[in-house]
Amino acid sequence: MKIVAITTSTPASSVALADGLRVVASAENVNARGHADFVVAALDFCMRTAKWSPEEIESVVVDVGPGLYTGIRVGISVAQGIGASVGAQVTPASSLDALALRAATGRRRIFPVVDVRRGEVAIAGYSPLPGGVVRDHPVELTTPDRLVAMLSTHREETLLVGDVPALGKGALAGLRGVRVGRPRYPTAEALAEAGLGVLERGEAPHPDAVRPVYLRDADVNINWKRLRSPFYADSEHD
Amino acid sequence: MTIRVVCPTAEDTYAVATRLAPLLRSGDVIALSGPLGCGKTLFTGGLAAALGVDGPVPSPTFVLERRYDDGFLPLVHVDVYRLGSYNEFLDLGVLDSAADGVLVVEWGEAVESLLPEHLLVRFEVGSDGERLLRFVAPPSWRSRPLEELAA
Repeated sequence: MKIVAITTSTPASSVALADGLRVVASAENVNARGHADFVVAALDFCMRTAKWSPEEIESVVVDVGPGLYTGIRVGISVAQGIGASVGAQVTPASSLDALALRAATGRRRIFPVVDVRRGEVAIAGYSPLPGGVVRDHPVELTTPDRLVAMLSTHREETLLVGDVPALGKGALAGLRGVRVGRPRYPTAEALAEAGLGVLERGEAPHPDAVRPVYLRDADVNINWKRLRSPFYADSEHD
Repeated sequence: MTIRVVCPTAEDTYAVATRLAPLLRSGDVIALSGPLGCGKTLFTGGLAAALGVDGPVPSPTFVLERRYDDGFLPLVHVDVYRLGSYNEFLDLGVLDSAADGVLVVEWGEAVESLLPEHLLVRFEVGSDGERLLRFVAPPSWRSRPLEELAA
């Protein structure tokens, strides 16, 4: 199965072309602002390197976060664009899954960290299995302080991967049994692997239903009737 | 902490904003709240000018978002008036794209629970057209001399 994988949820943008689990072309760039400029040029480069024609693409695996909102939207837009133009499936995959898949440990509990800015990080917990990982702690938003407090109550040996520097200098000082490892950012080839699982389970949604993972109350409607009422300001004061 | 400033004219509203600008830091979020035509965009224009932004600051109501990179701090000016849901606000991506500068959100109270700690500026229009501006500062702003706004 010919897969295009795109991750733009962190300062690292990455694109990969994979035939099943075999990566045939990839490109990567670290620039927190340059997602849109990079992705299209990198796709073009990879397609020419691999000598694929667009109609051959069967699925686009795209990183839906958590991570940088602006970057995630770039990735999803490009993925949906490819999906709409060549009829490829659009498969959402998690930045945290891609990080955990590349964590090098056979026994430690894995906690990937993704910076979502403004003092918060997204995390999840995974246990290693032969040939992969299984998520056993849900994806959540937290602060460096709360993450450290949580880790200090854990008894098992832990491996932190992802953007650990985003936690701040010395944030992990005094924690026992916690190691820091690579990768710092998710790569498209790891994302392709994470997406392959979704595809094999037949869980790919309609392309239009692929949405960013914001981890906030995104589905709330704004109550304009109340906010635009001339009496609103009075009722809110003092 | 709340500071109240009475602005009899549009020039006064603009001038208060220019006094706020030197107190701002990278990462700040300012929510502007008040009825249509109360001076939210004018206020942002004063902020922009005092931050060294060259040129006019038109309303972002229809384009949703404008970014100014030529001042002392990047300034991102958004208006959520035309948005219907939190999703649409998050889709703008300004919470992270403005993290290196100042984010000003018109009708910010509509998405207040999505905003990080922020300065809330409430605009009230008096019967004679004068504006009452209330600056409601979060605890983290305590060290900033907001009383200078009333000068």
